[in-house]
Amino acid sequence: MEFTEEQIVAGIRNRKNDVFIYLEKKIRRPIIAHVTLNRGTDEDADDCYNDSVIVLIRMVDKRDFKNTCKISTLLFDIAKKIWLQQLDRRGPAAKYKIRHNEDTIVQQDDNELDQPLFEKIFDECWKKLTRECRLILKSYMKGMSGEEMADLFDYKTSTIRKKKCNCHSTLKEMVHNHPDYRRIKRDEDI
Amino acid sequence: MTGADKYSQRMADYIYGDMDASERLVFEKELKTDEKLARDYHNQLKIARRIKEKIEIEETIDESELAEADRLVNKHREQFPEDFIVTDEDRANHQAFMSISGRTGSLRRIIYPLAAAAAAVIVGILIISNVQSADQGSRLYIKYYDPLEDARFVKRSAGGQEYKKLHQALYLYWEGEYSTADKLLTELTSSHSEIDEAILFLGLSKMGEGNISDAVIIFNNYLSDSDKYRYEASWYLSLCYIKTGQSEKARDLLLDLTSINGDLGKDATKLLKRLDKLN
Repeated sequence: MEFTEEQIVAGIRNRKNDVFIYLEKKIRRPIIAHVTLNRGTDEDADDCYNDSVIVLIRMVDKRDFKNTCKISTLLFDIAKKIWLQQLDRRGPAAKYKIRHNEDTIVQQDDNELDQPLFEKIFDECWKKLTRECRLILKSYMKGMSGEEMADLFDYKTSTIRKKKCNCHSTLKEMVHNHPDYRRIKRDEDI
Repeated sequence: MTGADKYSQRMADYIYGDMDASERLVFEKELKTDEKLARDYHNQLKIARRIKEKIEIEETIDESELAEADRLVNKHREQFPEDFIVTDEDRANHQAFMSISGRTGSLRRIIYPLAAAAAAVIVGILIISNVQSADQGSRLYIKYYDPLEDARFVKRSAGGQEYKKLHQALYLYWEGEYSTADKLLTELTSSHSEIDEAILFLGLSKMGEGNISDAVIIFNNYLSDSDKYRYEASWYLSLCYIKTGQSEKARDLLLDLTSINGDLGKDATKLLKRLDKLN
């Protein structure tokens, strides 16, 4: 069942379960992805989702609330902020744990680029990549094999592998040469 | 290939899973001992993770609205910072509140207070179990549903115009553009009902759009007419049934699938166990 934005707002204000279930179906998955891909566990993701719904209810309950964007998008943005809050709270403790965990393959960079800023930089560079590059990298991330991609794009598997490498390098170079990225890194070196 | 090119190739191969097991072991050993390599890997992994996240976001969120959402949330946060503080008590209250639907209406009109209280408790328990069951069905659906990514469906695209259309629709489906894929496949299946792939992916596109009831009709009709993609159609139909609370129908389909070899059989077995635990 689909709801209009007005029905969703009314449903939230009247605490209608079918509206919350609808929102969950629509937006839970990207929120889970955002949290688990940014240093969170499945449990963290669940908590973040639930907390975000509470905050959304508080926002929508305000008499002068006007939704100038989709409620699902609003919920996603709230979740990102909630998660960032959580990461900030954990920051010092997490760094202590990582420094003392000898099994860790990846060492956290103490001066890690601010997450929203990184996302902004990434998104700008992503748009500049060629369509083919975006599709190839996304296909890899979706778990498609080299052979499947070779069929899809009509290339040899060795070509796909080379293109993936070139596309990733291009994206990486764009990100690392982005003025905001360079400025932050330069300031850290001072 | 220069040294720098080889380095980049190795890094990208590891990040995107293009190394075999022995190459991976060697690389992981180097990551533990080479700090520069580890730092570089971490920085580049961020990029790969962001791509993964983008896939999830693009399939669900209107990115053009993100900036406006951000503005709204920031504005609200400035005016009401306390709204962004969620305590354990808030969580417990929210959980209890959400378990009972419709706080207004008929509950107020019950005449005898004791009978009213008892009826409210019974109704509440029934509603909680229904809502929990619907919630749990939704959760199982979300956990097990993945779009069907399989390039073997593309191999017949070398055929006539209808297969070119099919290929175009599949491409749109894999891009997450379910509504456009739906339109193309609806046109295609109306004139070429013999193309199994078109019908299967029409059902899948409906699922992608959230139109579960239409997807159920399409998969059921397909299964009564054709055997070619029986397993795929049964799997996705079972997910639709789980989503709509029709566990028995889902169970029948999954039971059939547990006997097949491969990932689908394994997934069906796992899902069946989860379903049995719920009921």
